[in-house]
Amino acid sequence: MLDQNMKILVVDDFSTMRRIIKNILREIGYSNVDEADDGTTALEKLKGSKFDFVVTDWNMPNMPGIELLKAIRQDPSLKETPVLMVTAEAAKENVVTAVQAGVNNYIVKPFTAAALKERIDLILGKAAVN
Amino acid sequence: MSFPIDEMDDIINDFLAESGEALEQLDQKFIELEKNPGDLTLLNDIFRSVHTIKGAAGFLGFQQTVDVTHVTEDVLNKLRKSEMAVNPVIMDAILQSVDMIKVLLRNIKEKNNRVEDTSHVVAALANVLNGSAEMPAPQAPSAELKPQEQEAPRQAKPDETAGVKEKEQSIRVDIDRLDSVLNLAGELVLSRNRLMRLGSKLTESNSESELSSHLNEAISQLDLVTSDLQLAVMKMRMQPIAKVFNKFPRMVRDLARQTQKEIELAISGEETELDKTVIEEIGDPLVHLIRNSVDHGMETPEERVAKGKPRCGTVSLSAYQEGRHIIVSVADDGKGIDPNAIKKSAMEKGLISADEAEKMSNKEAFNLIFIPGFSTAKEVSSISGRGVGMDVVKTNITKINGSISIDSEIGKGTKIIFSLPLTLAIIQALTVETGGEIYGIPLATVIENIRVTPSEIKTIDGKEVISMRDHVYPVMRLGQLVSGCTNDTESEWKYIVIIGIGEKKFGLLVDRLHGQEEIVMKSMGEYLKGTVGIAGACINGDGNVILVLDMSGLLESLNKLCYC
Repeated sequence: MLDQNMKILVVDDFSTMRRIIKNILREIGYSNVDEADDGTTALEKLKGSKFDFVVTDWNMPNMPGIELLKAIRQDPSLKETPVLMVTAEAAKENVVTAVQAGVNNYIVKPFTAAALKERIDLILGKAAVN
Repeated sequence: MSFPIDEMDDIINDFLAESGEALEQLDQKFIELEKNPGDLTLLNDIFRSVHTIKGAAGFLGFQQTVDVTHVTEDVLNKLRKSEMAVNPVIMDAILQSVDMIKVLLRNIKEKNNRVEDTSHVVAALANVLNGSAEMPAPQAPSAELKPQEQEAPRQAKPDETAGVKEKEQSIRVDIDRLDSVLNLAGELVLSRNRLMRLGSKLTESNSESELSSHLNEAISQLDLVTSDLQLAVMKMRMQPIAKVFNKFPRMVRDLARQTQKEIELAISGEETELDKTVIEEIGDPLVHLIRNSVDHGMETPEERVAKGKPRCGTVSLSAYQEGRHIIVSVADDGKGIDPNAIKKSAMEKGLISADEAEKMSNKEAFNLIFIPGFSTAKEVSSISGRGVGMDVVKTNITKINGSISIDSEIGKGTKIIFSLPLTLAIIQALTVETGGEIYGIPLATVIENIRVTPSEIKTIDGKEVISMRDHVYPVMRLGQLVSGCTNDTESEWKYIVIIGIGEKKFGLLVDRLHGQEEIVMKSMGEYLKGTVGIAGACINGDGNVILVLDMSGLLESLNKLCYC
């Protein structure tokens, strides 16, 4: 059972990418989406109100995705929030770093709506167990 | 992706706008990078921009863009990991690929489905990647990048994030929406003008009335607010001139490499704001002038040293506001222009007589280069000097109600100055009457008005002229030009408006002068588009439609009348 109303934060410095991801999310039934243009603003938003899910880009100015992930995991009130990392290349070292930092899953750009849905379902199923 | 078509179009437009901005900044950053090859923050920045464009292009299915950005990214990745050092050859390959990305994005924008041949770009980058693009003698000591420097940017990042991040307080608005607001503000100006006219009429006929004084109060309040609104809307359309200036460091760098000269581009006043349309129009003229400066104006480093000048030449590009105008100048410290060489060349081409050349001041001689077909370059190079050029520059600048002038000194350099209007939407006009019709003349082109009796107009060689303070001006009868009728209303006094377009001056004979008015010009629409001598129409304070004259168009038709 999925909660289609869950509030998702999309983090990317390129507004076109945020828009694309928002559209894909809407396509698979998630329309409660907010956005942030880098890790710093994302963290502010996360602390400001409750989000159920974070989709973040890796490569961003000021605060890259990996730093955001670490910050989320270190914050007692945020550390349970599922994080899906979007990367452009499935470079092994990146994936290892992300997994070590506690990412729930990652997805390689460009991805299809079905692929994103699969990742989210996977995370939500798993996150319940953790 | 299966988004609705409209949404998809919207996203693609967003993508193009955002990528375009990113690419513009890239050019700037590359120039900086060439100066500071070891700057890892800069490299990371550049890498990220290309990376991001690749990511979004992937989603949108622009495979060619993905392919090119992908190799570029690989090269940049090696650079930022210090596996390679920046050198001019690598730089050329990267810059070429950035140009290719721009072409690909343009194709997407134009929806022309064109497939570009990207093989040479990809091959050049591939060469760089497999190391066959080594410089024979590395110029920059960039190879000696110390290991600890690599760590620096990562550690610097958290510091930056700790500071308060300034939120961007801007939104992207479709230009059509902006134009419709501007249009509405224009309509409001017209209504205000009309109300003011009616108000003053009412006061004339009924000055005692309390109602009319209240009305006038309300009108002056409206006047104030309208002017403020007009200004505010105009400002919405203003963009910093940096938008144009930003592409020049890259251009000068490329040109300098092509011509093997050493040139520094100094930019100042890039924050100066201008109307979007003006910004769009001055790009090409500036490109031309800068090319000229680099190609013809600047000496080779050896020549410069021999003359006791610094080895590296400077081209300075500057902008600032002066009243209702923006002054933009391109200056170089190169050879300068020899007025005698210009006169000689003009004489050889039969443009002026020996006698005229004799009398001509240096300034007048410089202006000869604006005559169509004039070029002093002995050899035609691939960069500039095809004989079409300065006249086109001048035409473009005149088209947007701007003016252009040259200053030069042999051995010291050349400076070309544009004076541009702040906005094109609202213009000051002189209203005149001929044959019972009222016409508007853009005030920027008016030098002075004189009152004459018909007998003062003389005929020389079958052409009408007026002599004033030792100057003889050709005279055009406005009535004849616009309606073809020769029988202007007979009256004792006539008026001649002296018009100046660049260095050319002529008199326009009209029946009456009305006054100065702020007008909002509307285009004539498809039906009457291209009517020679008419720039557009507007509604004046009386509610009448008046035609606004296009002085450069009239001047052209005058030239045809005279010389054909």
